[in-house]
Amino acid sequence: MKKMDNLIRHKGSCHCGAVKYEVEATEIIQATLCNCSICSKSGYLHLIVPASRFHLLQGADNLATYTFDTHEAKHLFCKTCGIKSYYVPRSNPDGFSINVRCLEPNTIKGINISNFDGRNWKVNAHTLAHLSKEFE
Amino acid sequence: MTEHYRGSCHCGAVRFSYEGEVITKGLRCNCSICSRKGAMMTPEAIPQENFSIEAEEGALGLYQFGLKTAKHYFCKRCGIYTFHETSRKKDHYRANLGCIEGIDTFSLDADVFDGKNLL
Repeated sequence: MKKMDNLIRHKGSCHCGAVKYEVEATEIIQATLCNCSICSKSGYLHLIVPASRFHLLQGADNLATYTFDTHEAKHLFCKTCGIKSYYVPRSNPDGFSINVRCLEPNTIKGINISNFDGRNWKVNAHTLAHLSKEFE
Repeated sequence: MTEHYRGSCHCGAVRFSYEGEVITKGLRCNCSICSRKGAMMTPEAIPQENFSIEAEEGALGLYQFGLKTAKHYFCKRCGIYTFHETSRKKDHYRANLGCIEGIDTFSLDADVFDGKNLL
């Protein structure tokens, strides 16, 4: 995220609507697709942002948390519909990863997807760290 | 040609296996729930009698909406969508290819079903 980028508010939710949020990001979303063990199963498309740009509107009490291995990432999903609409990633514990697949499409002008080799997480994680910093 | 496939959620509390067509490509759907799951699914709808489910007690979550014909299952411990009973074919399942052992969804092509307009 660069200082001159114009941010708008995108709305997101799980499927049943219990969890709702807004995220400040550019109109063209810079997304990351990861091939690690859990992302392969969850089909997740990441938009990693600083904590200050994520606003949970409702549903904190309807979220379940799953952790594994180092237990650093907090994988959150809706207890009712199972959808993982956002979570705290291991690569960016100071921010959030938003699931682009859960954002309302009407505010999105485009999506650029970069691949992240999460199967080799330790050697690649540093390439994501800047995404949750306030400004580059 | 058929093959025996086994799969599981991430934590292993929900497991499944089935005998079915050899997987050479996937299926995606753009309906409201499939687009959120982002899952690549089995193109084949697997008949119930060929599909075996093993779940630890209390681990299998069920979500239904709309007409409540489809049954969307997920693991209540890790949140992973493993399989669902389809709305279009009663007593048939589609599974999440990302959960199946030996399948790499990143190297598979997929057809897209226009569920947003057809369901």
